[in-house]
Amino acid sequence: MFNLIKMDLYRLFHSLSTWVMLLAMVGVAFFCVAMTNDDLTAMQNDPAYMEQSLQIDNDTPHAGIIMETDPAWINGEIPAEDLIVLLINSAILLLCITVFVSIFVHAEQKNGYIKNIAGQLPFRGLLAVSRLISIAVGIFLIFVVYLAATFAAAYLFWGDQLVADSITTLWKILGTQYLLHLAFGSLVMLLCIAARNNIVSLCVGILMACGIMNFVYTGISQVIHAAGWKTFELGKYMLETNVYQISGSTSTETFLRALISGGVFLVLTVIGSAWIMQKRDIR
Amino acid sequence: MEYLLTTSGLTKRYGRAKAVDHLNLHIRPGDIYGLIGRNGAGKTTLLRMLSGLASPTEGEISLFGETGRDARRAMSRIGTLIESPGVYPGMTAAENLKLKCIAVGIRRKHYIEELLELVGLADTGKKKVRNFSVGMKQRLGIALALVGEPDLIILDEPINGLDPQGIAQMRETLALLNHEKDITFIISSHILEELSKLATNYGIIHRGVLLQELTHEELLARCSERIELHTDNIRHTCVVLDRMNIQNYKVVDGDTIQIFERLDSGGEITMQLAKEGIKTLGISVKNEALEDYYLNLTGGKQNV
Repeated sequence: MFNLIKMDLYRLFHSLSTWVMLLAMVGVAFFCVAMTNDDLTAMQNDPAYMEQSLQIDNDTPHAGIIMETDPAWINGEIPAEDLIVLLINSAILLLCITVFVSIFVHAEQKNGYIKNIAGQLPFRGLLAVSRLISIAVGIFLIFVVYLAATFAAAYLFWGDQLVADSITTLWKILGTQYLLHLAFGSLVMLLCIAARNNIVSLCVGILMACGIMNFVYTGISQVIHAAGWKTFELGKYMLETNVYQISGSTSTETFLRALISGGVFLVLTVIGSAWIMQKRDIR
Repeated sequence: MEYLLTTSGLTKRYGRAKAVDHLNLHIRPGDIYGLIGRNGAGKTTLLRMLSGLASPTEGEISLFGETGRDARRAMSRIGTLIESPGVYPGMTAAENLKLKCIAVGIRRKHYIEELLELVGLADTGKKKVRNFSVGMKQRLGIALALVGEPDLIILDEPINGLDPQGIAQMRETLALLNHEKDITFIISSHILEELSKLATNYGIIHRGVLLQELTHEELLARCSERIELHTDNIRHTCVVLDRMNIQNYKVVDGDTIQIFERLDSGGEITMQLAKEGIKTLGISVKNEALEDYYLNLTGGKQNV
């Protein structure tokens, strides 16, 4: 098992796609900060636009990558943790992780390298676990690079206006978001292994990250309401919905629910991937 | 242990179609077992099951004297090259080998260099695999199969894409590994003449069924002699042969017939043909080539 993990980590660090992805994260971070800066400028110049921004209802299901800029940042301080939370809530990282995981997992299936090792393992389902560990390292690097680039870009745009207030809360948010993103990556891995191609995992992952499934969750919840369970909201237990919601003002109960949802998704998707790897013939 | 690998009633179904049908294979330690079969005969499916990449629908594999779960564990002693070589195109040959070395826990110094030297890829340096020729990729695939010094190596069409010099080198390498390291090989190929220069045993597979298992010596003995007859009227010649009760013959082209029985009846045949006014252009007794033997066994022997 340890050897398999080392093998996948070696591949992670020797793949051009990993470094291209990390480089792309720097670009994405600068792009997001630049867009936020544009938004602030637009609010400053157009009071009607600012009014419209204030009226956005966060509880209504939406689709797409949406960054809601705080109008208070126009002239006041910009807390670094709020900026980070805003960017992560936009699901831009979910999108990037979908691309990274799809490329990483599919590479071995596409070129057939798996044929060199899978037959010789008594339990080849372990390959799914070793791959998840590499994905976890990859996602961690993506988080680190994205956060560092975001801070750098924000400092370049806003200078001393950027302040760091509540680092403890930020760690709590980042820890929870990391687990949710890792579970989402594991779900993408499961899709990639099950479909044996990365088009399905890319499409489904991107659509989910963009919130398309919110409408499905609402529909299912309404069916459950009709059956008598009036308080149940499926969206509360889904990964991407929790990614949109976790912020500094989130209650402990929501944090706990997000952690449990992330953990359950992570375990189930790894078991699913390992089961498919074990039972299905290798092509 | 008499046999290193045996299968008992090994079957693989895809839906209703049987790709491999109740196949009983017997491979001794030290054999170079040539698996012969047309495209779609079931060779690759069989090799994939033997490599642990596909599960049999029915039947059992006995490996190194172990069966069931123990046989599954023994699969770590197998090296494989199934279909095209599975390699990362963005990595070098050494990096591809390093990956497998890590997976099987090999840390020996210069091991990768030795493997590259063995398969003739020592000079590839930092060249990415995507820039390799088909033959070079094939050699890298064989090097990957050799990682971990397996006792049994399964090679599916290993000489595909190799030039004549490469084929000769590969043959020498495999023979060397077989003799010096006592590695058993299962090699499938449709280039029968090449296989016959290397294999010690053969299994002939057709439509998923193992038609015959035989040693190299047995095969040579069975590559029977034949009469090769050239006449100016093939249609009428067939009628004459039928009348002489000769049934085991094959029309090769517009003026050639191969007769596989009564090889000492050349004079009688020419006499009968002359009586019927058929001109004999040539008659000779020849040995059957391996390819002809295979074709006869798998249906080519039928009268045309």
